Amino acid sequence: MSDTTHIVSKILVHECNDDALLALKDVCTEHKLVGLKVSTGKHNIGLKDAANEINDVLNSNVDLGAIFLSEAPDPIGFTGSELCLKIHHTRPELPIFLRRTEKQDGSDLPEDVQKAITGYYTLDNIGILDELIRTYVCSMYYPVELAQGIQEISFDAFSNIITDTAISCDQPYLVKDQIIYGELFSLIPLESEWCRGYMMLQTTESEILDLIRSGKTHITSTRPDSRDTNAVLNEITNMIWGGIKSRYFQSGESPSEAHRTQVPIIVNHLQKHISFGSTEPQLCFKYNLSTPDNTFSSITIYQRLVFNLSWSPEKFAESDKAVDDFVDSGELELF
Amino acid sequence: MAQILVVDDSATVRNEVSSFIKSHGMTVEVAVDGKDGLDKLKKDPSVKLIISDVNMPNMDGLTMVEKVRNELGNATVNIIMLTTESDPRMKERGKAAGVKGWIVKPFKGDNVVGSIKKLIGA
Repeated sequence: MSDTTHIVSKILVHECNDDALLALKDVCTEHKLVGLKVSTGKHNIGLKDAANEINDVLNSNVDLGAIFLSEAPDPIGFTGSELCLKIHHTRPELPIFLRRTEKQDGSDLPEDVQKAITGYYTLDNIGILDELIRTYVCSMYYPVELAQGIQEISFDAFSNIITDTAISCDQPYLVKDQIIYGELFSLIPLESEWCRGYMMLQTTESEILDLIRSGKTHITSTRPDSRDTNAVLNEITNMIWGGIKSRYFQSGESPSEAHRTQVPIIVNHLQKHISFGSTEPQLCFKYNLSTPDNTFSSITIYQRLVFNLSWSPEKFAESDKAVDDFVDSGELELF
Repeated sequence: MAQILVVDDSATVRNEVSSFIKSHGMTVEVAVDGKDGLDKLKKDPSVKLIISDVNMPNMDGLTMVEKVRNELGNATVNIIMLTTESDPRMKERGKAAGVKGWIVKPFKGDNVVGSIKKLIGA
């Protein structure tokens, strides 16, 4: 199991100034951010290629919290204000922070660039990032105990449904990304007095098919298809949901009908994008499931908790008293 | 003529539970939701035990139990719920409808088989 003593957020940094990189490193440490650096190693490429290269990095990191760009030209000669337009077009949900060399704001920049940039900073006033990060990257507080509990419940569910599997999990982190990973995802509501939203699991069909073929699940199809992959994901989702409900939603109270507001969930299949209406960061876990004997290729499962309808973490401490009354799973309770 | 009816919308659970039961020499029928379970029971009233999930599409497990008792008038079939639900209110509803036992997932096959033996003496 991963270190769950704190929750982090991943940011993408495209910055070539050593002083700025050092300053950002301190900011990352201060705010528990994990910085991922974009390396545009190719020379003599056009803006389109440079942006594509960043997009490639973006596409392989579907779990980001923000992007940091620089106004100063990179070795290829392109500036953050040029790149931000392309990035903002494909990932509008991600806040972009631009380091400026002289001006403290973006009033001199074209209007479309201003719309794409969330905030500005210079090396002289890097402290301004504290507030920007608190507002746009780490604006939602998730109790560490909740993250630990979700991870334990999920590990139990994976081990129960998939036999002889090694499971690992990255440190839990906050994401602003709305990109859908893989082709297969499940969504189930989470409803209690202190939270309302969804749990989403995302994975790839080919990995689950490979898993089924390996005989590590209870699906016995000799030629598994999408119905079988759905069945596996369905049961994993169901079991995690049940675990969360048993452990955290046992205060006996669920939101009254008058408080059951809803917002539409929008899925864009072309862009592989899902929006829950809220721009608040989601709590994300990335699991890797593998087997020592390599009977199936490793599986990546992204788990996201999206409390887009209601979130009162101050009530969480009260509700986790229910843990004391935990029901032992697997035992028959005779009536 | 099956001794046990397993009702669950999850193919993985249906397969897992069925294979454990069959490996102990008992006969099993499966149903994919409460509605299907009710239909299967109508066709084969000799079923001695129903093992059912709670949360299922079309008809949930507790509604199915209430219909088994009230609409089919079957007061004798033993019913165990095998579910991720552990909400006491749901258990109360199940108990009132005539559910004999409750197992919270994840489960061990041996426990399920042990429960079956307790209830139907197979």
